[in-house]
Amino acid sequence: MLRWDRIAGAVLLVFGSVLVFAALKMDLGTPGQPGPGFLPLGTAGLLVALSLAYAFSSFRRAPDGVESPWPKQNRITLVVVIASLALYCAALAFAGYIPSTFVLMTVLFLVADAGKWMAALIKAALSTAITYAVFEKLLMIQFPAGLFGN
Amino acid sequence: MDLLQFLLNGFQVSLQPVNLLYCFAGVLLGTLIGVLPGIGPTAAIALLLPVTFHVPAVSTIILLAGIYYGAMYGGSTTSILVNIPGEAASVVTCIDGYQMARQGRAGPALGVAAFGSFIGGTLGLVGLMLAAPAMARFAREFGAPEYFGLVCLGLSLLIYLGSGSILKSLISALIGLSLSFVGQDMFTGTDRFTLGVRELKDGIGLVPMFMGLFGISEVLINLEKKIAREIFATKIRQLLPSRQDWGRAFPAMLRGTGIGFLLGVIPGGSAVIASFASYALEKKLSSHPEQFGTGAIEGVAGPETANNAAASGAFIPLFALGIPSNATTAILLGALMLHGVRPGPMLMEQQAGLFWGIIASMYVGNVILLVLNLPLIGLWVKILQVPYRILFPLILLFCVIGAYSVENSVFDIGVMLGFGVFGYVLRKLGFEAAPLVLAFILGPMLENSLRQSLIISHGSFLIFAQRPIAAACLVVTAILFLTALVPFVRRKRALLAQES
Repeated sequence: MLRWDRIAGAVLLVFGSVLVFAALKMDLGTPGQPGPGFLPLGTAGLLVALSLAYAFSSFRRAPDGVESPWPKQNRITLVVVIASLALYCAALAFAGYIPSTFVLMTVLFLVADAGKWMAALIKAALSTAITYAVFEKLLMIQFPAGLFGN
Repeated sequence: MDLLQFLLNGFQVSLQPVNLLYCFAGVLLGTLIGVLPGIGPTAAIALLLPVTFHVPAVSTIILLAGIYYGAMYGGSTTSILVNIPGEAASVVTCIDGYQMARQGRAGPALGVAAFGSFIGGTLGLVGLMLAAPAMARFAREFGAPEYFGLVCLGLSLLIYLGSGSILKSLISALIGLSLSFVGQDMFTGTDRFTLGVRELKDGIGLVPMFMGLFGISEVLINLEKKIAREIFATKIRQLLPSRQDWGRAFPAMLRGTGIGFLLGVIPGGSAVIASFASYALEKKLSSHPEQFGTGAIEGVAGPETANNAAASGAFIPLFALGIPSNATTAILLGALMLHGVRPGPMLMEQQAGLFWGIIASMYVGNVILLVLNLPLIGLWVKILQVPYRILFPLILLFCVIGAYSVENSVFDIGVMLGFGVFGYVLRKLGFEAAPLVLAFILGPMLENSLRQSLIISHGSFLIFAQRPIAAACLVVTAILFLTALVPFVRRKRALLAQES
């Protein structure tokens, strides 16, 4: 776990530094008359300082026996779920709600019940159709029409 | 007399058929959420936010608040029957509740949990009804410096009382504060941290952010582990506790109400802490502490009462000051703001119908819960058998639709996914999401009040020392952070975190 604390500390340090540089480009004003960049700079500066403290504290602590916070169990499932949601996000505007949601749900139900293709296809078709009917037709939410635009 | 009149007016609002329906739907959904391990009330409220856009503000809060306190009722069922808490505030109920079930006393355990929840919820509401208007009257004199002090105190209390490390909670709050700066500066209109993205000019959307941090990340965490749900094979009979059970449970319920209510009011003193504190108190006061852990009824009555009283108490700072005390009330504040309602000292005057309508609906909701809960226990047990693998694709789809529907924007789905992964990583590394969310919500208030104070004082920071309330809040904030550095306090906090 200590290794991951150090990595997280480093990432936070980079994130805080980026914010510091971005804030420096804004009008800072003076402490008595703070401009739009004053508080963002102060916050980011404090974040950098605490990230350093966090990373260094991991060097002083004894190992806690926890190897990694990321268990091997279901790791692929997680990656597939996140990747399929990212792809869905990228494809939604282009492909439209019905085809992209159908594909997403098929993948998710396949992840849930490995190998059960027919069940996954049926559940995906049902969930896509029901949500389309409820949200687009009943609640008037305009989903992207995409390829099959009306 | 005024109070009674206001309450009667509130009942007129809450007993309107449409509001009654929302109240019923809220508490039913809340109980369901409480029963189902793997999704908590915060995530559920975040998921339902988009659905409420076309609903009036009062009905929205009646629904969402119903989910919050309904979940406190439902959580005990799984703790007692399955030894898995449906939500975090019922963790401690597992200890004695499950032991009671194993001894064939599941009925009285469930019964005392339901009655305790009702008593805690209802007495907590009386406290809310009396304390919120008084606090609001007091807060009417508050100006920008007082609000700056209060926000600082609220955030530091949340960080101090949180279960994790103070350093991590502080980092979490600073990330939330930085994210709250995204968008146009409200004084000058300057773009801040927008990366040139048009969609970020109005800031990061509350709904996609909450749905990601609480909804998506919760699904990802749950996908990692196998949730075993072996329901203890026992006949649930005699739900009404015996006279002897009442004799032991009732004092615990009263103490649980007091401790839960007080901890609910304090920022950071969540229902989870309330339930643990009540359990510890009961064990300390008991003449048979050795029975705790083996099926002591006080170990169920106290915590279950405390978590419901805390849920009621948490509404006081939200309504009276506009300052949420935990992640769930932060989302409720977001919901009110999305409906153009700004909670604070003037809410009870300007929106009396809304405030008293919500209070009255909570009385109604508590009665519905008591009537619903006991007869429906068989149904909740059946629902528990629905595997998570069926639920999670549907939860994800609902998240996607919810995030999209706010602005009909695909960008918001991306924001939600980004925060989902971010929230997952935060949790895995032991960072709490609550300070981040609260800092994000309170960030604009903090900045506004600081800059306004300095405008009033012509740039002098002495204004914070000259105003007694602001000064007191800032001194307590400083003391909290200084005591957190004391080695003894740090060791004690680490120990408490480990225990919980």
